[in-house]
Amino acid sequence: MKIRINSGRTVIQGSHVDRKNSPEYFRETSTIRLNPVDMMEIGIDDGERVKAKTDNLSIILRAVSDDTIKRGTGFLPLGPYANFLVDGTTHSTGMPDFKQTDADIEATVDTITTVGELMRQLGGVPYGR
Amino acid sequence: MEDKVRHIVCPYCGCLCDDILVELTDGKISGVENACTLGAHKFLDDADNRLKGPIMRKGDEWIDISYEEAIAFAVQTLSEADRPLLYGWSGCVTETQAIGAHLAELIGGVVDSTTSVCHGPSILAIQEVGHPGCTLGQVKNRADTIVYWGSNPIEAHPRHLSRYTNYADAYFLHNAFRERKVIVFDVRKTATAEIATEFVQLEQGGDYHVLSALRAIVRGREDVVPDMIAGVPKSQLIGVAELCKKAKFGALFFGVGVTMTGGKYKNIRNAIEFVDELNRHTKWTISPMRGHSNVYGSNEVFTWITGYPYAVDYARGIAFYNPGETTAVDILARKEADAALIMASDPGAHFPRACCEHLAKIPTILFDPYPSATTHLCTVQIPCAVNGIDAAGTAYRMDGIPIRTRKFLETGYPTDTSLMNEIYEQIRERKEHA
Repeated sequence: MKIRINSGRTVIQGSHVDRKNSPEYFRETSTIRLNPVDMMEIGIDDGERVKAKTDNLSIILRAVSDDTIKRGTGFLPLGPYANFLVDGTTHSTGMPDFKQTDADIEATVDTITTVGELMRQLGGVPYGR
Repeated sequence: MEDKVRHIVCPYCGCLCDDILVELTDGKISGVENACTLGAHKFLDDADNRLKGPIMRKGDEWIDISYEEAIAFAVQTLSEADRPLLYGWSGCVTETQAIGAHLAELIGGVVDSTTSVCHGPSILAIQEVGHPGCTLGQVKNRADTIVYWGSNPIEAHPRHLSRYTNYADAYFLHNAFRERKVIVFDVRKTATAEIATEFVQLEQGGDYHVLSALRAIVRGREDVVPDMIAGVPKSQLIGVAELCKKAKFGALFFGVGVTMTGGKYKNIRNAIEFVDELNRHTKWTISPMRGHSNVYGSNEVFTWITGYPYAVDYARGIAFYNPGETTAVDILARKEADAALIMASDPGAHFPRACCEHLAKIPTILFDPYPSATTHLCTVQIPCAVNGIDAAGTAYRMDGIPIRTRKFLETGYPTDTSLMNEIYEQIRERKEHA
């Protein structure tokens, strides 16, 4: 199902910005809020996982239902998961399209990557001490 | 031993709340009063979270290095780079930002702050049509109508409502809480929308259309407005326009919900011109909800020193400013930078994928007290004292008021100002002897 993903600050995300490798930050920034009817159509229950895909990229997220979200849209707290699908185009303004990622969302049983592992996929070396 | 320190400045968001009380037990933060959840976490989570000292990536391993080795690496990398990018600057004090701007000139690099991925478009709009703004003190004491547009202060600036708008006492209002009206424009029903007098839910990316419709209505041309605008009924907008015109003093605050969506700075230009239109009827002001504690300071400091507020490129030997070309995201996405210094920010968590991939490929020096997402991407990380905890300096509140942050802990970490000063001086000496 096509979903336009919005992103933004949440209290839990904001409270853990200095602990980006904590379980709380990981859980919050990898959880997408979807309209309950959309979730029914995708065929998932609260807390189950989805794969969000753009052209050649995909990322695994946890989905929770939120009836303040309009159908066809989703809300993913800002962070490395939301930005994984954002490309570097800024339309000559310096500002990428952070809040309008169009992705295909489908049910999955794959596991969600941690922040460190996500950075490894981008070419980094996870620091774990 | 317990100790209470008053009048601490919170270094989290652009509100820079200056009434925080911190309790210390045996030299560690054990309690925080008056701060919001975000600020309380900033203070309480500090202990045991910092890197012990600088670290360096060697192949697939991380090794501990000394501050001298870390500085030597930074000096060599930045001196030898052809296209160095100096990015971040929103969580450090203005004194450090000033050294960053001078360093960019010294090495012919690009200095850009997190502005380019938050309110950069707001600055571009202000450069086009001006800024009818005011300080938060004016809003607190005078404003009877508040608009939050694409902004969710309850989660992003939790004390904005209690210190400056809805819940704050006002000198010129008898019963501020009852007299004030709060109008929220957003694509979803946020926590702030829940407490609004009027909530306008628009379609994602519909800001420009709704602002244009409001301008037409305030101008008396509602006949040209269609029945539905980006998911909002015309009748609701007519009601909102009336509310705005009836205000004795109105204040519009906008967040990155407007700067990041399609249209970018044109959205903000339209919002400023809407406020301009309202000023034909009554008094209105408009202000951006700046995110980081000192992101506004970076714009002030870079402007004094370079002439431009962010995205300043010294490759030609003189300051050149062209957002979209000289902004950090564009330079990294084009794979142009061959070295990066990241000060007090986390592009690993907040930049598009292509930019993070490039940062992982080039020598990247990160100044951050804590392990972040960028830690995994950088080559060297140098922990420094935290502005507002174990370092003091100047920071600019979101309305442009400079506030001196306070140091109340002694930890032994060097400040980012002293580290940057050392790097600057060593590079200058190297250039003089070259």
